[in-house]
Amino acid sequence: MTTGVRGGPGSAAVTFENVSKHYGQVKAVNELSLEIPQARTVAFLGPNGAGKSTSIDMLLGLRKPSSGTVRVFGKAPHDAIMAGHVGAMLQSGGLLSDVTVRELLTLMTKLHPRPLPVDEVLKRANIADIAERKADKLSGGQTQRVRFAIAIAGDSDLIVLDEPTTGMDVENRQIFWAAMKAQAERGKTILFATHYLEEADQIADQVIVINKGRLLANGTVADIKAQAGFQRISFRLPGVSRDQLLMLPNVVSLDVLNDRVQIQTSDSDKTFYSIIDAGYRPEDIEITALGLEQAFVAITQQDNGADAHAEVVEDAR
Amino acid sequence: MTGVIALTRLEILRALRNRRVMFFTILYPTVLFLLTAGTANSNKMVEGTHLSLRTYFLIAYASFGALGAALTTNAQKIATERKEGWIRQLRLTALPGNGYVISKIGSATLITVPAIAIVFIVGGSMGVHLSAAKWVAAFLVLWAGALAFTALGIAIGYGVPQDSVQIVTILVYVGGSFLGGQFFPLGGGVLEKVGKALPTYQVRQLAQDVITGTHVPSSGIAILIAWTVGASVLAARMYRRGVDAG
Repeated sequence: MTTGVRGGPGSAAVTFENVSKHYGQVKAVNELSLEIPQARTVAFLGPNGAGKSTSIDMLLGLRKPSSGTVRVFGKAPHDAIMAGHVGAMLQSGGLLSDVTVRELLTLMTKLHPRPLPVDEVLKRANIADIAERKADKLSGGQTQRVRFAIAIAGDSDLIVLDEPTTGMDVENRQIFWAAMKAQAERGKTILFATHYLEEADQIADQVIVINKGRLLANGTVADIKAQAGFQRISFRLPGVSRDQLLMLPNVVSLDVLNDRVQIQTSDSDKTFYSIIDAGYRPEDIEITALGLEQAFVAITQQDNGADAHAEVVEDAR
Repeated sequence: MTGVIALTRLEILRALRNRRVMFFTILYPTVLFLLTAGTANSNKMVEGTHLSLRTYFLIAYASFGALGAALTTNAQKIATERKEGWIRQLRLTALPGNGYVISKIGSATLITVPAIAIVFIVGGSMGVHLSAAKWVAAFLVLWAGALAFTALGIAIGYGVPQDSVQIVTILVYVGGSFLGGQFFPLGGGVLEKVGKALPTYQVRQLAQDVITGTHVPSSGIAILIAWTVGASVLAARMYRRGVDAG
């Protein structure tokens, strides 16, 4: 399988350059710049209202940016779609009525410049068993799998999936991710937005986090966790003050509540030995690794907190 | 182009499978025709014409069927597909921008064929005698005239809010047929004066004039063309508005 260096060698699959989208006074996306290299599996994360759907709509040419440029394999989004570079699965949307799954997918393959055989599409999306069913009479999970099949009906280089596993039960979700991993192994670039952070943790090799329309983090899962603080150290130490602990190494954030100290650190060993070296003898020690979910919550909260702080400063002036 | 053809083919298949479309296209006009044209006085001439009541109703209900086919296959479906995100999904394919609308026009135009034909066949078997040339001419007039209704259906599907599409479609369908003389001869009064401004009236009148060999008034053709062009422009504008709103 070719991996499609179609925008020329080294060209990124997706580029956002200072992209903003305003709806009246509301800035849904604010000066967003990012790059997705080819053949990556990228998770696109952000709280509700962060601007994920607007960004994806701009990436797919469904909305125009208020300013800035979006490029897909070096082309304008609409041109990339017409050239068959992009397959997409939108967040919502019913399937056509009065047609079978096979008929619907036959149509979708005919609408692609480089179609795959319908039976191959059915196989890859794991829906061969429901091919003769009516497309609008399926369960939620089956519908999602058919919609995934629509996204891979042609030999696209970039597959965009907006909340693909919403409404799927555990079994359907596993079948779905197996199908998607197979796509990644064929050298496709995959971009998926999701609410389920464990999915991003397990599947993505790049994670993009946006909050309030701005880029908050962009890197590997490990990078994001490091940015949030890899581990959390928690212990009881009567009489200690925040200032006494602030000089500890590798500390990302620090909280002291009553006698309880909570530290997020990028290196729990270093931080903890420094506590001992400083002569402290903490009690009830717990050291836990942060999952991506906690890392995500941590960095979005830091961001929201920073803004709240900035607003307080502005109010004070 | 293969994409547009594939979509049109699937649209026709969908219409043929849809009971609601088949009801308005085939069953409803045929049953109404049988009920009205089957009565005893159907050999009487319609006042002011050279047509028997039976032949009048043949043309009237064939055009009624064409109207139903063109309107109901499009208006309701476009509204539903717009709401459910199907149109957005199609915009993520290599289908040309106007391919969706072209497929809707194509499928509606083909679905009007059986709508007209079935009333003609039933009418012929009930004793309406016309020369082959007149059958063909009447068919072509009704078929081409249905383009106005197709465009109107697209404009309604795109332009009217989803909740109101059904009621607007029914109003146009029933109101247009009532004032167009599809249900009974209008008889030269106020109704006829109002009706003359409508495409339903003009399509029926034109087909009727072709059959009786009456002079075809150019004003009638002009009104019909004006409706077709007007509805097409409206449909195009509504379509573009729908696209921009995403």
